[in-house]
Parts: sequence; C-alpha cells; structure tokens
Amino acid sequence: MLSKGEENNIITRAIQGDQSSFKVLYDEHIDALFAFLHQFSDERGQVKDWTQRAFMKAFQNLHSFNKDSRFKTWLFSIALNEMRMDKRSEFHFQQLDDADSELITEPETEKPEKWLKAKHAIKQLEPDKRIVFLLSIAEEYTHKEIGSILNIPEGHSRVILHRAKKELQQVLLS
Amino acid sequence: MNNPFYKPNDFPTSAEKNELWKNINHSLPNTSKANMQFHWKSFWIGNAAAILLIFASIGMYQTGMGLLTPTPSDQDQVYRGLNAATQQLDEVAPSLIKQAGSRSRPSMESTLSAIREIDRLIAEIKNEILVNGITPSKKKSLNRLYATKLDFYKELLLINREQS
Repeated sequence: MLSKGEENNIITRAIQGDQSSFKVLYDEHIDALFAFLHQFSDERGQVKDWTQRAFMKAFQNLHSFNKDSRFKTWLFSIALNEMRMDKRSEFHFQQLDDADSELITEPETEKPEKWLKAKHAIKQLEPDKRIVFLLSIAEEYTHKEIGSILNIPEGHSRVILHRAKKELQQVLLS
Repeated sequence: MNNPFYKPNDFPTSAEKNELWKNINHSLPNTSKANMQFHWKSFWIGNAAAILLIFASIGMYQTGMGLLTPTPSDQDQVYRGLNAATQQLDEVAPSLIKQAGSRSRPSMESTLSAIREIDRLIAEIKNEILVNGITPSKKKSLNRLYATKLDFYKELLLINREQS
C-alpha cells in the first residue's frame, strides 16, 4: 500500500503527464473499488461500467483533487455517485433528525472482524445501510469521511450504521 | 491483501483488470499524445497561413495587373495560381476538421460543405468562360467566389485556433 506522501507524488507526476503514474494509481485501487461496487450489483458488466467511469472521471479531473484527502476516498465518492445515478430509485437516504444521532451512544471500539460472520447477510441490507456499513466496517472510513463521500451529515452516518448493525446482529443471533 | 469482507469472486480477474485498464488508458488526458497533436496542428495552421499569404500576394498582383488592364492570358495565369493555392487549402481542410473537438466539428463541416458548393459554382463559370469567353461580369463573379472561399477558409482556421 502506498503512503500518503508516495501517492501524492504519483498524483503530481500524473498531472504533469506521466502516463505510468496513472497505471500505478489504477493498480493500487482497482481491487478495492471493484469489490466494493460488486456489493451493489451481481451483474459484472454493470460493476465494470461503474469502475471504469469512476477511474475515467477521477483521472480526467485529477488536477482538482485535494491532496489533503485520500485519493481512495475521492475515487470512492466518484464511484458511488456514478452508481447512485444509475440506481436512483433504489438509493434513498432517509431523512433523519439530528436528535436521532444523539441517541447513538455505543462505543466505536469494536473490531470489524466481529462482523465477518454476518458478511453473507450484508447484501440483504437496504442499500443506504449497506453503503454506510461497508464504508465504515469493511473500508474503515470514519463517519466524517462517510459524511463527505455520501454528502450526508456525520451524525446520520452514525444512525444508519447503528441500524445496519442492529439488523445484522439479529441475523447472527438467529 | 484482499478485504475479508468480500468474497473472492467480488474481485476483478486479471483479464477484467486488463480490459478495464485498456479502456481507461484510452481516455486518459492526452499528455504526450496532446503535445504531438499540438505540433501537427501548428504545422497545418502554419501551412494554411502560408497559403493565405500567397493569396494576399496574388491579390496584390491582381490589383497591380488590373491597373495595367490584363490580357486574357494574364488573367488565366491568375486563376491558375488561385486554383493551385486553393487546392492546397482543400487538402488541409479535412485534417483541420479531423483535429477539431466534437463541439466545433459540425460548424466546420458545414463551412466545408459551403466551400464545396463554391467550388461547384467556380467550375460552372469556368466552363462558361471556356465556351463563350470571358466578360467583366464573369470575371467579377469568379473573383467574388474565390474571395468568399477564402473567407470560409479563414473561418475554418479561426475555429480551429479557438479550440486549440
């Protein structure tokens, strides 16, 4: 895995026109992005299309990438936008009150591995819960990052994750 | 290491990765390719500009000769010169259109169709001159057509330059 500094150097070289740097970025992120997107469609052609569109958009707009953030976060947010555009009817983030997020008091110190046992049930979650759960537990993004990727308040990400975990917990108990 | 939350078949195969890269690589911002294209553009624009200079010289020559009342053979020489020069512009035009962006291409293509229509009218008048001889009005029409053709080529060059 590339360090933040190495990745930023590669991005700088890509912006300057070094074609091989684009390939390094592609090789670094293709597996993670493809596998993540595969959780939202069983049609491989569809997943390939989202992946391709995300990389193309990211590379074409690389000059506007903010190097303070992670390239992967940026790439994922572009990919999710592409996917949500195609699945507009399925992806709705429920309107939540900020008060809801205050009810979430559980400590966030649990190990993600705990949820591996429930991975077969992740695809059964509603799309909004599945996105937040995967971004948080599988991809280990913070709620702040998830909020910025999905353009939702950080607190809403907490509430959605809480609800997703509750559903998966029931699967584990049954 | 692959993320344990995903199944092995959630990941792309090598063939899929290669296929995706091929498509993505094709759409990469043209860097070295762009430089190459830029030089070609300059080459063609330079060529076309040179031809326009030839036209300007021909215009000056024609004006000068006009003052001395040209004989039919002099006039013939002028049109031969004009033909040779426009022929070179005709060769440049498709390359300019080929290099144009998708936004300006339709407008350039319609300008080129207009040029082709002018060519047809020039050919008609020349035939008429061959059969029935030259008259001041035919000469005037022919000059106007060449001037319009030049204007259209100027337009093509300006569109090409604006989008480069």
